[in-house]
Amino acid sequence: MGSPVTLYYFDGRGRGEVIRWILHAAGQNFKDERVDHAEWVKNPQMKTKSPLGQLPYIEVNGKTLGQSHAIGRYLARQHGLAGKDAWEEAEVDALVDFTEDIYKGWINWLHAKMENDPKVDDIRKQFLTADIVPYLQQYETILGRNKSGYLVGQGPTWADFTAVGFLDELVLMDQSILTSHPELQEYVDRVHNLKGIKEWLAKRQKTEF
Amino acid sequence: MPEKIVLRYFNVRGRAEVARWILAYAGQDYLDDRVEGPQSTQWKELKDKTPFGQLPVLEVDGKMLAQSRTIGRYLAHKYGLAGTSKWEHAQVDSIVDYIDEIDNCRVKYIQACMKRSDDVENVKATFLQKEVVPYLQKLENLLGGGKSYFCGDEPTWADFAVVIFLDEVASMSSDALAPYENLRALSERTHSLKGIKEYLSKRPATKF
Ligand SMILES: N[C@@H](CCC(=O)N[C@@H](CS)C(=O)NCC(=O)O)C(=O)O
Ligand SMILES: N[C@@H](CCC(=O)N[C@@H](CS)C(=O)NCC(=O)O)C(=O)O
Repeated sequence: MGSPVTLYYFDGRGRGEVIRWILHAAGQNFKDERVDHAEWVKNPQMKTKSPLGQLPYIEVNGKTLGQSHAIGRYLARQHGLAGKDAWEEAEVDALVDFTEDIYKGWINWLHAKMENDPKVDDIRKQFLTADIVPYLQQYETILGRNKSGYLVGQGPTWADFTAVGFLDELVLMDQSILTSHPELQEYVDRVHNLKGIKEWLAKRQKTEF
Repeated sequence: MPEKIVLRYFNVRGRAEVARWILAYAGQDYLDDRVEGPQSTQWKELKDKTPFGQLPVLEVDGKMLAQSRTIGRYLAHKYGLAGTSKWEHAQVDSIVDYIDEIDNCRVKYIQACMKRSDDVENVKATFLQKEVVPYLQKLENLLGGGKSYFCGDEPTWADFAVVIFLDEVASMSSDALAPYENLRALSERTHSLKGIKEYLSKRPATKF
């Protein structure tokens, strides 16, 4: 097992959730520190303590590391959730980046929604009916080709966690989004039922995003 | 048989430049394949054969890898440019992602330029005077304490990613880097590395 880890993030899923999934799936104890947003804004010291002035970051042995994917990769490689050789690790990374490309579209919608942007409905529609389409197709193609039930190699990797974490957000936007994608629905269920993830999902506190 | 490596991208620096620097520094023979623009038939025919319908793509003995930072990381590990411990690998990744974040912001300026938008000057000013500032300041501080490179005495691909970005900023405004002494020294040091220096003197001149 690795050294004790503290994760600092706001009280939401956001960019902290993939890190939580990795640690829960690995069965590693960690401190899931939830930073109060108002406190973060008002107290500049909190920003100074973080390595890049942002959340999430982790603290391990008194040292800090920022950027959600750098953290995710570091922990996933430590716990056998990142592919079995250099090429598989790269395939995992490519899928994480692929999901990140479309996750940015989701963030764009979230900002529009939070700022009461008058165009929010158009943004939502464009996102759900056009932008995500090639991404869902790509996940289906890869799962169809790979046959193990996961995106890379023979078992779950953190690329599955970022993909399913993203699909979860889509379902929250539109309950029926996966109805026409039964393979993706099965995939989501498979990942949700993994040891560690399942227990986490059953007990995690509900947050808006 | 030596590996056959092809890096495929459009004829711009953009998202392939960090891979080109890594390969140049490593002294690795490779084909720097520059495909015709996104509207070309050459690209239309190639697009469906790439993993995600996008460039850059790295081909190693016929196997394809997509996503610029994934390509960079794969090559950096292969050639010893990713730091020397797991923790260093992670710190390097973190700097690369931090740079990517602000570089995505710069893309707004490139898009404005390409559309010949009336707004170009505004977009540029917002980027240089506001958006980029906390990033440059943070990176300047990370290099404090007399460090030659982000990980100490030896370069990593995080240095390449940062310097490539700094070059783009400097090309937008020649004095934008004036307040950042450590970053300017890093640029100079990195530009004169063996392999990089030769690459820079012969790389095709492109606008982006
Ligand atoms: N690319 C970074 C993005 C980090 C980021 O944007 N963090 C936001 C929250 S999701 C933040 O810290 N916002 C507060 C602030 O910047 O003061 C990552 O993946 O970790
Ligand atoms: N996140 C990807 C983005 C790749 C990307 O956006 N590529 C653009 C060029 S910079 C492209 O292939 N455009 C042509 C197209 O989509 O048809 C990466 O970093 O590699």
